[in-house]
This record gives sequence, structure tokens and C-alpha cells, in this order.
Amino acid sequence: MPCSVVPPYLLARLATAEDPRYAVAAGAARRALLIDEPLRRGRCETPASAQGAPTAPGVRAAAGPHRTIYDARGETELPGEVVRQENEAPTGDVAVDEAYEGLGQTHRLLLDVYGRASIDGRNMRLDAVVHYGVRYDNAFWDGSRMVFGDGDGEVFDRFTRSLSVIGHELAHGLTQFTAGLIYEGQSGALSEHVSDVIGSLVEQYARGEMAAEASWLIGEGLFTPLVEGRALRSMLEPGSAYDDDVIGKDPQPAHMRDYIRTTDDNGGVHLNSGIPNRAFALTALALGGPAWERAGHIWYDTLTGPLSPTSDFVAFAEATTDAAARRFGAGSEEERAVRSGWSEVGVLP
Amino acid sequence: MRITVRRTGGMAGISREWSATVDAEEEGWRELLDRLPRDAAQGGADGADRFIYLVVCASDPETDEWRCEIPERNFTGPWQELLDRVRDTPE
Ligand SMILES: [Zn+2]
Repeated sequence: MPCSVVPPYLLARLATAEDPRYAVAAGAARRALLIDEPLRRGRCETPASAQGAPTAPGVRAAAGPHRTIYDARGETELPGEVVRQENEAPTGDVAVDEAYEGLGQTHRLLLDVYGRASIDGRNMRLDAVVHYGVRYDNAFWDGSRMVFGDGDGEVFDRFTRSLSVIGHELAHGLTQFTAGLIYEGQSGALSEHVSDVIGSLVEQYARGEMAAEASWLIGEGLFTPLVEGRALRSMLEPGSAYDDDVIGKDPQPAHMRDYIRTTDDNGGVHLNSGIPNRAFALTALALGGPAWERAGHIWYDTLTGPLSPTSDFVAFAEATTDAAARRFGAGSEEERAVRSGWSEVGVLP
Repeated sequence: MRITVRRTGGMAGISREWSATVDAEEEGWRELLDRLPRDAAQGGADGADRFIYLVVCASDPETDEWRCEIPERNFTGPWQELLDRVRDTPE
């Protein structure tokens, strides 16, 4: 790789220059800083994770992840203590190591497939906190980092167990830096949907699964064996993920006619996401092959394209068909597959 | 008095509900109810997948029912105490 001769302090100054006369130089300096990052860390190599797949022009394969894992040690103060940083060996704490690997896999999908360096496109550091709270049954994105609970041990196991959950949380950061979908009502359900799409694609890409082979499940392995259920959600068959005496039945609708109006859960953001989830899974299955390629690209283009933060399902569906037409041509197989996916769940006619 | 705490949201999207019928004038319930910071309902909705708590207190007859929706990050101190007490109260 080309190693820059411009001193890092100068690059840093240029990269943050706001004078429009330096706009081009600032962009170039930001890219150079991105490329040079491993150099400043004392190595100059292409990480294994970035090999073997096409990388978009302008983003160099050396833009590897910068991960930091923290341990909250059962408290709810964030972030807790640093327990593993980039290039450090596994700690032997399974939650720490799963979080580290999961962040790497998510970074790899974004960079290899979509040419995006981390969630902000500027190779932002990725922070995750594990062992948050006591018997805490949740994972969340707090606006700048991911946080994972250990689960109560009766219904939920630890939340780092599922790669799709790690990808889901990180994708909330991606949405924050791109479309900025408001976390309420239909735009909130779309934020949940986008996180499920990325979470599922991270898992499929890591396993090398084609759309037809994928489980389309979110959070597989999170329930203990005591629970009657396969996962938290099914993107392909919403409403079928679990049916249990203690936690009840999976409430997700799979079609607009069953759309849930509620004030709970920010207006049902984790419920109604089933509808767009199924539209995506149907589109990917209709197109066949790896879901991250054609269907994934169309959804990524939509998220990073002109999309209002208050978009409802119809606006988002139209944006995906526009994105399909832009990338693959009007009337293309891809555009037709997207339209038919949304039509099957009752969002488009 | 009937106190219901309903937790929705969270990555799993699975709701939980706890409730108890208590005598508001006994065993410090009134003191705890008076200490609840109702202004905790405002703000604090950054990020995604956090829990949301809905607390409903209804007396019989339901003359002074009140409800308060509190984001997880503000559900601390007296609110958490209330939930712990409701959980520990036998039905
Ligand atoms: Zn989410």
C-alpha cells in the first residue's frame, strides 16, 4: 500500500480544515489518515478480514476496525473498564470475545461489501460494553456505543451470543450517521427494520450463506433451552419466532392489515418492523444468491440516499424501488423484485 | 390502590408487567409515592432499544388515577424502589 509522506499532524489539520478552498485537500487528508491509521499503530498490512472481496474505490483495505471492549462489571455506569483493544489477544471472557469478534464481522460487511469505513464512513472507533447491570435482559445502542447484558439465565442467555444482535446494535449507529430515522412510530419501525437487515446480513456474510440457506432469524441462541422459541424475530415469517407459556407468543405482524397501533414501545417499533422485514427477505429470496449483494445494496443505497428522517413505510418502500432503478435500471429484475416484496406485505399496491 | 408497572421496548421487544394492590397509607407506600420524581418522564430518549416504563397508580374508585411514562435511563432511585416493592408484594 502507498505510505503517505505527509506528516500526520499536517494531515490532521488539513482533514479538519473548514475553509472551502481546502475542501479537496481536506477530503484527501481524511482519506490518508484513514489509510495511515495502521501505520501509526506500528504495522502496515492488509488485515485478513478485508481480503478476498471487492473494496469500493476510495476506501483502502487497510481501514480496519478500531475496537474497544469495556466491562461494566455488573454496574450500570458507562462505559466501565477497558478489557480488550484492537489487536489484543482473546481474554477468555466469552462475552468480551464475542463482542470483539462481532464488531469485526460487522465492520467487515460494511467495508468489504458497501465500501464504508465503519458506521460513520470515517472509520470511527467501535466501542462495546459487556456485563452491563445484573441479570440484564437487553442490548442497546446508547447513541455512541453498544451495551450488552448477561441475561437473567432463565429466559435469556447473554446478548453477545448472537452475531445478528451485535450487527443490529451497530446498525443503529449506522442509521444515526445516515438517514437519522426518528425512533417513533413507522420511522422507528424502519430503524428497527434496517438494524435487523444489517444484523442478518452480517451473519449471512460471515457464514457465507446464500439467501435461500439463511435462517432469517434475529437473535438465534439468545433464549435458554427452557423457552419454546427459536429466536427473537423471524424476518421471513414474522410472528413465528416463539410461542411460550412465560413470555407469550411472538407478536410481530407480517402484513399491513395486521399493523399494530399502540403507544407502547415508542409506537410498536419492535413489532411493526416485521412488515418491512418480510418485504426484504422476500426480495432477497426472489433475487437469489447472496442477500448482501443485490437486495443488500439496494437497502444500503436507500439508507444512505435521500431519505427523510420521518419516512413512513410507503416512503421507504418507494425509496427502495428508486434505489433499485438507480443501481440496476428502471424495469430491471431487481426493481421488480423490490416492488413485489412490498406489494406482498401490503405496503405498495 | 392498584400500582402497575409495564415495561416495553428493549431489543427483544418483549413486554413485562408487574402489579400489586397496596394500602397507600401503610408501610411507607405514601412516603414512597410522594418521593417519585414525576419530572423523570421528560427526555433521555437517546439511542435505541432501551426499555420504557409505564407506571399507573389507580385508587378505587378511580378518582385520582395517574400515569407516568419513564425512559429507562431515568428509571432509577425511587422509581426502581417502587418496582422492587411491587415485585415483592404478594398478590
Ligand atoms: Zn433495535
